[in-house]
Amino acid sequence: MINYLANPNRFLKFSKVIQPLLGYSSLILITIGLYFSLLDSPVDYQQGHTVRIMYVHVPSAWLASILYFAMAGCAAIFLIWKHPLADISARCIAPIGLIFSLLTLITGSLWGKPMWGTWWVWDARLTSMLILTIFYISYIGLANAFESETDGSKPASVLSILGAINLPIIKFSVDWWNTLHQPSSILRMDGPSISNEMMLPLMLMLIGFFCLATYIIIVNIKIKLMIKKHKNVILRLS
Amino acid sequence: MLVYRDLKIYSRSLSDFLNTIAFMITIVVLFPLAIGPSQEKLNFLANAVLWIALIISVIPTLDKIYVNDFKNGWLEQLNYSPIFLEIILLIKCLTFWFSLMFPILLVLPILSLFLGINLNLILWNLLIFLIGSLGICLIGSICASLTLGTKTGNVISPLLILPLTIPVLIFGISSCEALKANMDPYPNLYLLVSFCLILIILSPILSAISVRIALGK
Repeated sequence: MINYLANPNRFLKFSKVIQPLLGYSSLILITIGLYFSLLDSPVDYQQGHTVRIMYVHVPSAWLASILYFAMAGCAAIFLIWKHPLADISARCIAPIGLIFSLLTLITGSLWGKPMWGTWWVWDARLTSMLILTIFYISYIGLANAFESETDGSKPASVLSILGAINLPIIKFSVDWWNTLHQPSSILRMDGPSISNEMMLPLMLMLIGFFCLATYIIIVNIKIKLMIKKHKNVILRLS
Repeated sequence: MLVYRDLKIYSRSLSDFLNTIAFMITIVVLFPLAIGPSQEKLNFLANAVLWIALIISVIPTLDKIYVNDFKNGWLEQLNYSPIFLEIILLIKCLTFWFSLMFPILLVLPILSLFLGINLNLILWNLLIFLIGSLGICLIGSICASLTLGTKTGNVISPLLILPLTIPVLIFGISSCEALKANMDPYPNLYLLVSFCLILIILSPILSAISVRIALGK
């Protein structure tokens, strides 16, 4: 699969099929998910209506981590096999991941004000998420800090792999330390602990966000490939 | 021989070290002025202020581990030597740490007097600070080698260093605080030492990778 897509032309052909699919499905899923989560889902007996923030907060937090994992994976592929498409996709994933991690922090603090009484707490989950954001920013900074764009790829890849240490810390921070942030309720050994009526919109939103993120990333990769082709054409002509 | 050469260079750039010292003193003096002279508050914040002063004053000098040698071609020559580049970089990093020890040893006792830290603890504190600064140097070595050859210079290097120094900061401060509260500093100290030992293995490997990348361009 990855080998097949590694060729830019085949990737473009593949993306022609998959891109509208992802775009429409994300549109539909997020619309249905938003309807369920904002209007037609039960109100939490403790949190009241603020629980609805969770339907944006949790998917974006998951995506921020998943995208970092994908970015570090692309960086590793780039370092090992020196494939330029892997570098391009890592570069395209970074800003999307940054946006999702910022969204997580913002929605989390909007939720935290009425629930915990503060905008921000220095607890393990929040701090490790902030560090993830900083890693995204420094990846983007380092990747673009060089004279020619390709020079920055390798150092930035090393950095992103180094930052992947943070991922398990984020995942397990609620179990390892006693935090204000609630422990995980979906990915648990003894099955999810939230009710089905809440699970449904959450899953819809999660899959919808995932499709949306992949859609934007594919569009970005296509743009980058086009810019590269354009430059090559100009080089050949001049 | 490598150690001798680097030490000679460091001793000639005395102004850098005066700079580090000046930075530390400035930060430590600004804190009491900012929060007021109350002894209680100062005592509460003392260790935190010292650690922050240490980290902030070291960050600007960290680039100097490799940048000059990279620019004048010395690193490229070292790359062709029969010794592994990893070992050479580790030696360079340790030499840098060694040269950093002097400002720390000189200034920290005086600064801890300023902040009202108990005199009996100063030797212990110094030990913890030296171990912590070793960790910071090893992290700095990774970041300095990653940013070799950037056009914007060291704008991003503080951001790179920040998330990686957090373990050093946490374990260092908690062992200092344990000392202050008359408790056993060993658990946190051991964690700090083990973190530094892991870095001694990892940091030269990663730095060598990125130095080779920078040289290969």
